[in-house]
Amino acid sequence: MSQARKKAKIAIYWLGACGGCDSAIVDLGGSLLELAEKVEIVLWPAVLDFKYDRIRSLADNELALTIMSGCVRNSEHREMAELLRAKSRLVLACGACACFGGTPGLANLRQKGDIVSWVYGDAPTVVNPEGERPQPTCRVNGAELRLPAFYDHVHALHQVIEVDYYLPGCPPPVDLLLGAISALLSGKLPHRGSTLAPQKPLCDSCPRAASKPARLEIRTIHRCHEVEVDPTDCFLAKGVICLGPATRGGCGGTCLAANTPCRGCFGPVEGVRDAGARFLSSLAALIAPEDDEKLRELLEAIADPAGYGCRFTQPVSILGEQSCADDNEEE
Amino acid sequence: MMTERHPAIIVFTCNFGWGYQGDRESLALAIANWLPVTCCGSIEAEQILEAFRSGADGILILACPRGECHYHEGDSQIYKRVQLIKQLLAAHRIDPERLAIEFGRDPSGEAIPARVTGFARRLGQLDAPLAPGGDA
Repeated sequence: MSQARKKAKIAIYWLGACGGCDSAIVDLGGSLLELAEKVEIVLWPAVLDFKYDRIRSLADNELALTIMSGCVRNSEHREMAELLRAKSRLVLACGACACFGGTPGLANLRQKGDIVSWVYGDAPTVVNPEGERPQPTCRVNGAELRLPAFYDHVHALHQVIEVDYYLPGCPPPVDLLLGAISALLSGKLPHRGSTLAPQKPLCDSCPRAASKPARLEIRTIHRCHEVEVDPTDCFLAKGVICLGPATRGGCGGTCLAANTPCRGCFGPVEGVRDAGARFLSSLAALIAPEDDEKLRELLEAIADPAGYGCRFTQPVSILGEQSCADDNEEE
Repeated sequence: MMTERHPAIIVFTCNFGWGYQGDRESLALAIANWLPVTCCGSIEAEQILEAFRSGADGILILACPRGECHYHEGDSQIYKRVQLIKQLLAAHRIDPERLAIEFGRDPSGEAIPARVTGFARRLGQLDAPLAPGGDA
């Protein structure tokens, strides 16, 4: 028992998340068992049962590391993020949602009221003749129950608490995850605020790069389900939109291996302010110079360019960034 | 509701096509927020988005005539970039008409203020913008 007390304590927590990042940690396999020998996991809701009161009872900075995945969309996410921040010496934002807001961030392209109307009324699969809407409080058997407040916006983790390190990906690959956890627990700390992944774009390490022409010109646009691209061919050269040129590498090319173009889950390369804007600029440059009518046709064939640009990074984009302090707690 | 104030318009012009023979100081006094650039193809998407984020009501880009870019394809590059950025603006509930590109040539630059006035008039007919990402 006394030996257990000497082990470094870590927490693994999900905010607005799908659990994919937790699955990736489980995928560490044998390495996870070795890790569990060296550290004491005090909280991991996806896998183990612990009580929040135990976390509240810890001293500030008692945890060596918290690995936090998911975005911040409601007051419970914020409360837990702030609690774990106070108890942790290091916080790792794990996965695209924690780093950039992730796919839940696409919800920022709709207003909160529209989302609630759709989910509880207008969607064709919804049957709600009474027009019920979730209420922040209700009484059950004489006790008042409270729901977390649903914020106006989806936020990335660093917009709510200080984040020490970032590991992007949807989910992060096992090798980078293990490298990050090992480095952070061993005290071999890179520059605070670093993203623990390569700095260069995915195209630089793409196994299909050899088939990319020296001057790439897109003359037709296909969605990835409309054509079968040869597994060695550059997607963009075949007119299939791939975010490789503007996305940080390090993912291991798992989508490419499944003959699917990059969707941008590793976020922008080092130093780029707005992943979507930079991607759309690079895509525009690749569209072949044609007459205006043909150009218009090609540009219109790109289904939902804003969606491509915002898929994982809207909450940290120039137009999308919002301070969590501005989000009201009222329903 | 539109207010009486003048709309904040950022004006990019290409140095190869607009105002290069004119009196730059007089032009600068006549054109608020004037940003002459060496080729409109060099205007980054981030510059445009930052301008809207900072409260610009509209951005007018005056580029060289199609096919007459000094660097061969800057006109085409900015045209394509603008078309895609318009879609990003629309997704954020900013009317894409607030970003305009016009192609032409005016060495004296005397026509620029009139172009800006025309753009301001068109902006005045649009609904007031929402704060980016904000709820109404």
